[in-house]
Amino acid sequence: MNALSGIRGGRTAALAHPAMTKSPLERLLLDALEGRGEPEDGRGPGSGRERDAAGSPARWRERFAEGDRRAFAELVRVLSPRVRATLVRLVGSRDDAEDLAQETFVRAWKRREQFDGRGSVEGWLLRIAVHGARDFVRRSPRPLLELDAERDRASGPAPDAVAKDRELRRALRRSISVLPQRLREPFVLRVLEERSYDDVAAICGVTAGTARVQVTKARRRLMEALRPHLGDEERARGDRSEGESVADEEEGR
Amino acid sequence: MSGFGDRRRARALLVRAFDGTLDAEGWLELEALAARDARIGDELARQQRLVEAFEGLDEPEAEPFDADAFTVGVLARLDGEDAGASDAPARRIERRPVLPFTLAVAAAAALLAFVVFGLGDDASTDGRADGRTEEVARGPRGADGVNDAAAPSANDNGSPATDGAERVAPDQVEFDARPLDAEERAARRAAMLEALAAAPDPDGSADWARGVRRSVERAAPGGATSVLRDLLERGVAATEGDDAYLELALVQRATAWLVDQRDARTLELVDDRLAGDGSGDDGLGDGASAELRAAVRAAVRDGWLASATTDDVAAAARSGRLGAVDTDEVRAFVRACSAAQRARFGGELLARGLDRVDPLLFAALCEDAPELVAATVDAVSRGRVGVDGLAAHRANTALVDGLTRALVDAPRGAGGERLVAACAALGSQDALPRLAQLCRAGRPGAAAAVVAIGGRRGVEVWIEVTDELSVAERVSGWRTLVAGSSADDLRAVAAGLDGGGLDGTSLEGAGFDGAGFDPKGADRRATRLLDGLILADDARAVAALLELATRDADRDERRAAAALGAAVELLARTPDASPAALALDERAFDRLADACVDLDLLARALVAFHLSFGPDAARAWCSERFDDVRPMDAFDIGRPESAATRARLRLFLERVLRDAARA
Repeated sequence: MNALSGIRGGRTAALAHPAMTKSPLERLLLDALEGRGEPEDGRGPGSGRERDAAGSPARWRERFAEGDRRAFAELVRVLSPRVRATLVRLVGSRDDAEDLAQETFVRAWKRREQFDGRGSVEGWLLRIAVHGARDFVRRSPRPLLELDAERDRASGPAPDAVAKDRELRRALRRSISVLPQRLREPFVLRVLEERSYDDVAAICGVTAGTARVQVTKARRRLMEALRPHLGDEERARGDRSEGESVADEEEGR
Repeated sequence: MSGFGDRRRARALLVRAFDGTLDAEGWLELEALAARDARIGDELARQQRLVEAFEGLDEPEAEPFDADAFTVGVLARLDGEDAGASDAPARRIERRPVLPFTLAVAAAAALLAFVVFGLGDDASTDGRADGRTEEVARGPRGADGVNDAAAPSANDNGSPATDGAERVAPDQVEFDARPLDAEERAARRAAMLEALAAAPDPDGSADWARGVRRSVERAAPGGATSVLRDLLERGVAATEGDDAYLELALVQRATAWLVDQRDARTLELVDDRLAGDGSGDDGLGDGASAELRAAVRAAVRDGWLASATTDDVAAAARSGRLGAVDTDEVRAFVRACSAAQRARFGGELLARGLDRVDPLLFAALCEDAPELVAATVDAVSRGRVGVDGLAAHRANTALVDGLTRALVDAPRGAGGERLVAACAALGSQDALPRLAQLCRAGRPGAAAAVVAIGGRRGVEVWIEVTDELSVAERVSGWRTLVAGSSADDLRAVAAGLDGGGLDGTSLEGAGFDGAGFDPKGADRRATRLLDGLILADDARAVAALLELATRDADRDERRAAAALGAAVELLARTPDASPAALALDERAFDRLADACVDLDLLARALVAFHLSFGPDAARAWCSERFDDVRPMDAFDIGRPESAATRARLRLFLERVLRDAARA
């Protein structure tokens, strides 16, 4: 048992409260939410948990088959903030992320018969979203996180330490934004959103082992790109002649 | 120097630390390796800086996002595509062009103001102000002006102009509703001139002396009082040169006599001065002080009150020309009226609503005149006084009491609904028990009234009646109530659940028997309150949620978990809210931690504490409760609401556990 799994979002906890599950629709949503983010024990999204039959992914499959627009609308309302958030992290632009999120739900509805009920609805939606983001990035030049950059510019002069931190954050955002999409996706989903590797794998359409490797590579690229901002004490001391980090060695460089 | 094996192991651990899969044992091992090898230590330090920098990344989940509008957009898109009307690429959610819209509104408002108010001023000036400007309001700047303005037929030799007073003696004037005897008039006029007595010396103006003499002769033909004598003495010593004080005397004198004459132009002057705020064009010139302007206004008012009818005063109060500053004088006026006159005064005052009646003035009048309260209640019930205008009168305790009493026998139908709405507009806390009964009886507007009144007792009543309401009413009611309550109030409601909820004695006090209430259903109330706080989705509810969790930690784990989960989510979404603003204190968390018998609950409490007070306080908190916290390390941390929060939590927990293990 994962004793801290309850931290997994107050919204889930709130919906789990009996008084909040007043309708079958809400129970469906509850199951949709609980179907994601399983612990790190190899269970995939939406699996390994006994569920109310009315709200299981299989039930969602039935709902989709029935063309239940009302249930879908509620699903959009509940899950759109999360889908949008992931897309913001993947494409950098809020506007583009919202467009992509809309496209994600439209595609989901059009292809609802493809939902096989074996994973959570959220995982399925994120898979569509990630594919959409991938296409979008392929078609479009990748922007920086424009709102973040704007915020940095607007924040004015600051003491040294604060300025350094700000510079680090800016460089971090820039570095994330230039990560190749195949590295960025697992990095965002695993490191920033802390989804399980199984979920990440299912969403990105790779194996869990591949997702781990991609996160490792993303880490290496970030550490490398941000070396000036993270403080390179070894080099400053001049005691490292080969000029490689411990991690570089590990990754065979 | 460590060997190659150590570094290899360290690299594996570093990767796991980066992706969040390293447990505390791994951390201890990594720390040990870092202590032995400086390069590993440096790499670890850099990585930790990187992970800490994730905190600075934006959290898109926390940004404002209108999911409802988004949903509408998606559905509209689906509808369009179903109808074959749109094969277009993703349509961007409509974003309103804020700046052009704002500019357009501003331009329209400016145009409206120009047309309405600009032309209105011109029209009123054309209609009435020319003569007044020359003859009375601005006044001449010398004795000739005094004569011209006050008594056009008088000689220009400084002698008293007496024609007006002789034509119609004050004690012969017909008063519409309140005839006064000569003594009463003299007393009022003497009081009227106290404003002049209180004014500073006029720097020896000869005009002052003449003006005052005329004022005395016109205003108090019965003889000089001590006040008047004082004025005379000061005026005799004055010399020329102070137009402002001359103006004061002029206005006072003209008012005293011409109001008696029901002179239309003078009445306009009164209206004009009473409507002024003391800074406008009142004929005193630019150099006059605010005190002098106020004194002029008071002189005009008092002179006018000395002869005004109840209808006049009511109309002036209704239009806002008489306000809080006039309270004492108007009260004196009303007190001097007979009961019948007060009733007439009330009817006239309420004739067109209370929108512009000064709340302080009206409250004072209601205290003095129960007839006025009764008339107001009646007018509200009959719809002659709009309910919206009552909102400004919440401090009027006499009126609030009157309407609350009237609610006891509120009839069914529109009249009763108006009384309910009036109690809501007045924020009558005492009306809440009765409103609760009306809610249970399904009376229209009662639920909305409870929500509008709000406050701690409003929430308590809402808990009692919420099950009787529709889902829509329940949801919107909770949201409004929580948004309008303080965090302290909400916490007090949660803390008072076991104390019997809605106080039954208040029901009795208001004339109700309290039947139908459930003073012992604390658990049911707790569930309802939790429902409401979750529905409200407002950070003000955090303290109340924690209070609920503390209450339920050892008796209803599921409800406690729901409360804590909701609190964590709210805290995560409002990182900038200070603990004080949310009525959070560390002692509350201590109580909560003591009450938690379940590790999952304790973990949620820890997350909430961390979000509220930051990593340092949370670390100290963990250190004090290490034996409780230690088992958490055996598990994955899970997913709180944001990446940054997760990173912070993971870092400090690991650090705390590591330090404690070393110790």
